[in-house]
Amino acid sequence: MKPQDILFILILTILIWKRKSKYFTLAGLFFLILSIPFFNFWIFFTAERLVLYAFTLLLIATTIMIKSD
Amino acid sequence: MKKQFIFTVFVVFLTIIIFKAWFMPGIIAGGDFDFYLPSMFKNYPIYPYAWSWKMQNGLGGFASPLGWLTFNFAAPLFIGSLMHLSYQTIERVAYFFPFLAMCMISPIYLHKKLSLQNNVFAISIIIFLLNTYILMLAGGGQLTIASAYAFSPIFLGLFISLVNITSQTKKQLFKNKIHYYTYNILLLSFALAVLVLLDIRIAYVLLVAAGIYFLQSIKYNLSKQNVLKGLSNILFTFLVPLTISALIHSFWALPTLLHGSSPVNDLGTAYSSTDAVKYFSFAKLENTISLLHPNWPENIFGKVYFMKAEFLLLPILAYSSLFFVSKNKDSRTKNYILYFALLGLLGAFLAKGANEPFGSLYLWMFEHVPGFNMFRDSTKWYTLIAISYSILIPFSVSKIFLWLKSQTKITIYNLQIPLRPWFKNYIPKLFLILTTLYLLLLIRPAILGQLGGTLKTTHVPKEYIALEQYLQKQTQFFRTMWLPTNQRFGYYSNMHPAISARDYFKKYDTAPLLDELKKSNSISSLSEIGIKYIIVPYDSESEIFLTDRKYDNKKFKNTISQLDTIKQLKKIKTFGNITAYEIKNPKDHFWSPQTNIKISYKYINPVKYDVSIRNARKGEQLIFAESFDKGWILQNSKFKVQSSKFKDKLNSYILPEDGNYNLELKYEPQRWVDIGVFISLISLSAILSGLLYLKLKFKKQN
Repeated sequence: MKPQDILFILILTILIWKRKSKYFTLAGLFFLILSIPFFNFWIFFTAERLVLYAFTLLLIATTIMIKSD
Repeated sequence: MKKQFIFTVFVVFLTIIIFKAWFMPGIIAGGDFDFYLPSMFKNYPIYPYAWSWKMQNGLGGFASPLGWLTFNFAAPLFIGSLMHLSYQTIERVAYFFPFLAMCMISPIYLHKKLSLQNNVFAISIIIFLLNTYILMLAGGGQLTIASAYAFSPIFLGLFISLVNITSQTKKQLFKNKIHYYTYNILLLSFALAVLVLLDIRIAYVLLVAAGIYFLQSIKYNLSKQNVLKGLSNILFTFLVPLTISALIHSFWALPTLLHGSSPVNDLGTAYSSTDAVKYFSFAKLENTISLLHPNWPENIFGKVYFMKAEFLLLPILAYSSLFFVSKNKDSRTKNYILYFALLGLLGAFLAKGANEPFGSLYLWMFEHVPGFNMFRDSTKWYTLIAISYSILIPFSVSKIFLWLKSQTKITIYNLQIPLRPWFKNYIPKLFLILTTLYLLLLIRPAILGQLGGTLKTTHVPKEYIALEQYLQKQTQFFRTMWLPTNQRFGYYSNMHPAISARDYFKKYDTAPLLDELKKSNSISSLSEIGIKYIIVPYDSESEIFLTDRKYDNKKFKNTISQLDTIKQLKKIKTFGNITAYEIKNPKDHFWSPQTNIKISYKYINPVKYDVSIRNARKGEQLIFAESFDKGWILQNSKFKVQSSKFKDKLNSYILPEDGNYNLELKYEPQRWVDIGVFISLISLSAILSGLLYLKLKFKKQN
């Protein structure tokens, strides 16, 4: 497990505890933005992980919003 | 409204620049988009047949599973030949212009159907028509898939509209008139039939999208309605359109179903194995979520580029809509945005195929989910992402635009800076201009005319015209073998089918292919399947003789010098850069290993031949040089003989009597096609009459 994975799990735990779709969306968008410089500097492993985290968070955000609607 | 019009004119202008080759004279033939010389038009009958001489690498095969696709090519060629149109005109009128028109109309139609309040919906045309996926698809010559893609928002709009009507209570439905409901069901059924005709895989993708919307709407209505109502919803929104569409497609679906073989498995392991799926999974999650085709911009098969970071702004813009929608009080809009966000994420997950995360799930679905084995190439799922982003991005842009417009001051902690009026006027507009420029920046190779394939015009080299004339004037049946493989301008017909040496010998490098041909029995084996000429093509498009994806003249010359050493081959003629070798005494379409038999035959249609046998002895063999299929039955009033395999590939018949007699060779599965055509025509007429009747009724009422 890489440090970024640990950081993601930590953030995910906090977000799940909060259960607010808005926070999931913001975190998802943040990870996507963060991945841009990594891709730009060809640090692909971390960049790909960040996209994966973003995908997961956006999926959770959408699911929560559909469920609560 | 005026601004929308100006923007739409700008998009049209941009489209003309990008697709300029389609608006200029010249032949368009690139990627998977075939070229047909005028003499080849007649090879494509508009009436569907269960057997095609083109299948199985020119040896003929059961054609019904691809009946929908064949119709797509046969209909324009048939109508074009009736109207004496050139191929340049046919390809533009039948494929290119309808595709462009549909790509512009359909995202706006979807917006209108959803009644989304959005003042920048014209951006959706840029997202939908000018994204890297569709540019690669259209540029790669996959025009029928591209047309299905272009039509897909219309289908989705119709489906959502029908679900919304179905979700209403019975009383409301009655108020809206049952006729309107029926009209929508018929329209959706017809749209599904059109989608299946264009591309069955895109139709499948859209049915998945429709299913998700249906489940989402069921979730909203479950509390209000009982289970019975839910079941009737499924019946009317899915089963009725599916059934009607299946009836319209009976002309190929019925024989395919009754033939009993799996069309995908019949294509071989290159199409049906999970290894093939892994090989074809070029896109990664970062590509799919960014709506970036992995082969952008060169579109060279298998050449995948590093991720282009600038594309990541697309999902950021798209999924920002989730942030805005959480504040939205309009539950209908919220419902739509959530649906399209889910659709985009699902599309991104599926379009990456067997790549991580959870790549094994895709492989599992490929093996176990019915119909999923059509998705060896997972990029078809990009369609969902494109539709999703064509809704989400304009929505986000519109919200950001309105937010910028509404700002009167900037607040940083307790510090409030009032904004000047110019800010309110110009900054939102600047944002729109920058967004549009960003979208154009993403596709700059297309704007600068750097894309190839069908986005460039070409010409037919004169040597291919000379070869066509040489082959066409020979009236007897024979096949040609193209070594290493067919060239896109190479002539072929039902009398002279073309075979790719690569696919025949299953050797994909030139050296082992030539070794195979040099084997002692190779040439006699080719003679048995009726090959008269071996042709080394002129690689005018630099697609065949390649080293590191670039044209290699050494390979071309080496192929010719190697063929010169084979004694059974006679170099007969060179047509410019095309070299043709003749095989002595090739077998005819019908022949016998026994020399005493005299055979004559008449081609009636692709599934029927009249055969006359003279001087036969009981137990002797008649060979029919098409791929073995037990559906080929040789019969007359006295007897009926079923085909058996000859040398593992051709049809052979043991003659049951001595003497002279006339026989009829028929492909039995054709009767299912004939019944299917009847059902298709009746269903189509009924649907169109129903739609016309209801439309006229509405007009009267209004």
